[in-house]
Amino acid sequence: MTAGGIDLGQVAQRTMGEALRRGIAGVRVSAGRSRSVSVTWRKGRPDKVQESARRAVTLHLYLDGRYTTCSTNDLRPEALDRFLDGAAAMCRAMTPDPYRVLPDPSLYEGRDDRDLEIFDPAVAGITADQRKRFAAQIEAAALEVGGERAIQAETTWEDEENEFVQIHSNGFEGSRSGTTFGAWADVSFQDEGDKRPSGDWGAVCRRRADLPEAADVGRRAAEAGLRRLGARKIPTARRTMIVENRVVGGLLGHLLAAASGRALQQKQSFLETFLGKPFGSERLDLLDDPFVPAGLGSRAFDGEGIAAKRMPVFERGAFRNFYIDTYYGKKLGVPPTTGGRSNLVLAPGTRGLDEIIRDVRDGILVCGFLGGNSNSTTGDFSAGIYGTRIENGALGQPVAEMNVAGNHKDLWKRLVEAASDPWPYGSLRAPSLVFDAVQFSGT
Amino acid sequence: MKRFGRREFLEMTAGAAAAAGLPLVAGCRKKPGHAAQAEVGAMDEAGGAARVERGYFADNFGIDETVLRRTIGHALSRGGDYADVFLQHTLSDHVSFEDGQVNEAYVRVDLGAGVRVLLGDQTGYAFTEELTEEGLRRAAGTAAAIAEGGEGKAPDRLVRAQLPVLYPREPMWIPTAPPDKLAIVDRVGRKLAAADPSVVRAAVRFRAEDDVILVANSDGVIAEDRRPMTFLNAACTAQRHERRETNGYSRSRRAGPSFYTEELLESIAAEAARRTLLLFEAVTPPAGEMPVVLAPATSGILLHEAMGHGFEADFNRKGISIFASMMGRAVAPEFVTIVDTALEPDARGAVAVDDEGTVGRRTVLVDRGKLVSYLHDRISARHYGVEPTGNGRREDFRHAPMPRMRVTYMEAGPHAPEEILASVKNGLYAIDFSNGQVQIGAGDYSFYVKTGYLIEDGKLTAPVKDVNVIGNGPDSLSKVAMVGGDMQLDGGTWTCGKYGQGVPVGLGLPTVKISSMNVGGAR
Repeated sequence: MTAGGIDLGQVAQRTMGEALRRGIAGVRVSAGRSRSVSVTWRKGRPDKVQESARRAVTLHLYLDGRYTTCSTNDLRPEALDRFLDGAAAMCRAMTPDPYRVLPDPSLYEGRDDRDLEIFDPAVAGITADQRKRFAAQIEAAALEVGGERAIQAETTWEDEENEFVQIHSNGFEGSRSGTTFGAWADVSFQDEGDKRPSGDWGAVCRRRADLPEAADVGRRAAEAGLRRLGARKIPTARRTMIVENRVVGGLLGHLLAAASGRALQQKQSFLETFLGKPFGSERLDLLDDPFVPAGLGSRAFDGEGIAAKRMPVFERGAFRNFYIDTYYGKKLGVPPTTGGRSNLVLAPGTRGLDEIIRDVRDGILVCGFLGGNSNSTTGDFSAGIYGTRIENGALGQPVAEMNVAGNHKDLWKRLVEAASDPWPYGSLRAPSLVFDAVQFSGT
Repeated sequence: MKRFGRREFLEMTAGAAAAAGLPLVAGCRKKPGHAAQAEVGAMDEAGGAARVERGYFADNFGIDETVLRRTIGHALSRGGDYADVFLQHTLSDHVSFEDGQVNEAYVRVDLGAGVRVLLGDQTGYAFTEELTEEGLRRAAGTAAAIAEGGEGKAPDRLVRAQLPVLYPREPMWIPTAPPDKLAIVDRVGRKLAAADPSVVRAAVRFRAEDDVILVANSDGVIAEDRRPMTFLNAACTAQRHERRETNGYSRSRRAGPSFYTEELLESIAAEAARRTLLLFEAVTPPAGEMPVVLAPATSGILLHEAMGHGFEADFNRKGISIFASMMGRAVAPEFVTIVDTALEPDARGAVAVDDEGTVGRRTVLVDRGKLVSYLHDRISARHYGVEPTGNGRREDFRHAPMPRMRVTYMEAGPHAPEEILASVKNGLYAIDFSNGQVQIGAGDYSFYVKTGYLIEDGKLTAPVKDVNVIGNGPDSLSKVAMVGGDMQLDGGTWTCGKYGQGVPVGLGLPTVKISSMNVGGAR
């Protein structure tokens, strides 16, 4: 693979050879590069144009249980020599840990090398004018929909191509190329007093053709901002919570922090006692799917070279699998699954969001989170939210400056419905989720 | 490709969250700070005068002033009205302790140069990871494209800026052998594992970095700075019967190995254990509005979120910050003065020169209740017709600078801390925080309380944990009811995020009472 002036395969082979020559027993190496261009547009002209070209080589060194990772972008031969000398010295200084070994080569086998449709050759033909025109069209639509209270719209186009080659000294070889195309808008409005709330919307895709129209991006961002005007707190109470599809990750990310092998082994996982047992409601159906066509997280192998497989995380509410890599698998005495997420697909329901809202008597449609955190050991969480009040089946008062709190072990039992609207522009394909009687704090 | 929106955030670099671990070594007390600083001062003086001091990038990469001037000239060849070049070479080590051993390390080398061209408030930016004149020339040509016609001029000469000496400006960690770094980590890990019989897991992460930067711009300024950085984070899980709790503690400094004294290492381990064990007594606070008293030091997160980001001048020149029309207005009671400074010696947020060549300084933002300055970079300073305040910072050479905080704190006020506590009938006393976030335009912000207490009848009663507190910036400023005389800077590992760029910052606060905030309890 030769691009951007460097042959990634050659870089990987050469650095692996150099590491082995220094007495390192096992090596994993990946060499990668990426190129991206972004245009940010504001007030009818480019606000910022940035071009980025990156490359790096990363090695994992194994020597009789001693383990060190190292990475550099300085590929001058003499600098690479110094770098490997330093990394080998660091590795030799480590305490031997019997669990630090290369992945078992049998896990590399059975790789499904289907076309994942994650590289779009259209990336090569994108011109500077096309980028600017797209960003300008987003701005025009945003300001038109935003109307006279709109202060400004800041819009962005970005395209990227990337590739890497990965080889292990115990027989793994793999490579991957991908593209992404993204478009965003952030629209600010003059509200009461000094408040200037903003709304944003954006999408990122593997294929140029999957990107929404520029006008849609602008319109949706403006609409999101308009829905925030006049926002205020409402009284503290337990209410129905609907989390909008595109922000479900704000909640799910905290849940999955407890699903890592490290959290489990380090006794920091509230999911520890739930493996194979009911955890949430039957609506909680979550699949890690590396084969989603054109998925942002699609892959044939993971960071350790393990052949990708579909893996249920939750099935009808039962917790099925931790994310376990080679190291924590050895420590825990269980086979590795995979150390990192690919695409997450949360099973959608049958009814649309509008239809669901019509049945809610007293609730909040959460459009975004503000700060907040979660304790992966205990499951306690508390987070700021903003959104729209739902009263007697209709969207009404915009709300802000409120918190939602609880414990994940309780929250996911309250998942009563998933909408039919899975978010298509990310590695998390989740629909809007409906939770019953959640604690909100306000006035 | 991941994009961060306008909602700025701040987080403590904590054990589980960090990408790789990071500890260091004790024992190798090289030199006391004063000696090192005196030496660096002398070196600077010589460099500015006759001594043949070509500089780090000239010596190691052949990028001397002639090359830099040619690069700037090329960057302006299409008519930009300002250009700068930013060179960077960073060597960092991370070391981790887990399950009784120092068993993971991460070594990183990062090298490159960014070229920025400004045309009014428009920015062209490109970078190269090949530190050669050809690499620089390509980046300059790409960045230049923001302008379309005309011809700019390179400076005739570059004048070295005189930088304040705030931290050691010589390699601190490169000369430190791996076993010495490992010893620092091992020491804390073992102390923490043995701190209490209920501690079932102890983990330590340590990072040490030597960073060299050079910035040269079309105003004829050149400045080279060495910026050491280290942090150590200790975290543990303790178990009593069926119940488990996790917490941690971390310290960070622009310093070398001498920072890690025996006393510091002991105190980090002890504090991490103490904070974890305290959680077994903790209750969930009630939900709703109540007075909040902020303990000294770490509570500076209030300033960072509620005001600091809103004071960043890029948001204000665009008219999208809630503070955009408040310049010169009273925004807080008279006993409130808020400062952002680059000059705090050895602080995590200290910068002798910012990343666009403005020498570090102290900036008063709120003077006795009145908003008197925003935080400026070059673009905004020109927009407002003021001097840059030295807040133009960037994560690394891959990013253009923008206004960022450094060390942000509130000066001591007139009230006694005991008096402040005694004034609250029912409320929350917040001590330690893990993260926060703000919406610049709406002004809403939040911070997550890891440790605190309930206040009942003016006294601290039950400990509380894991609760998000939310407010609105200008509203909270106007509700600052009392300010203690006990200002303290926090020594924690704070990293501030904005538009996807993380930079190290510092913060501080005296005891402060906010008369009402929204506490996100679960009952």
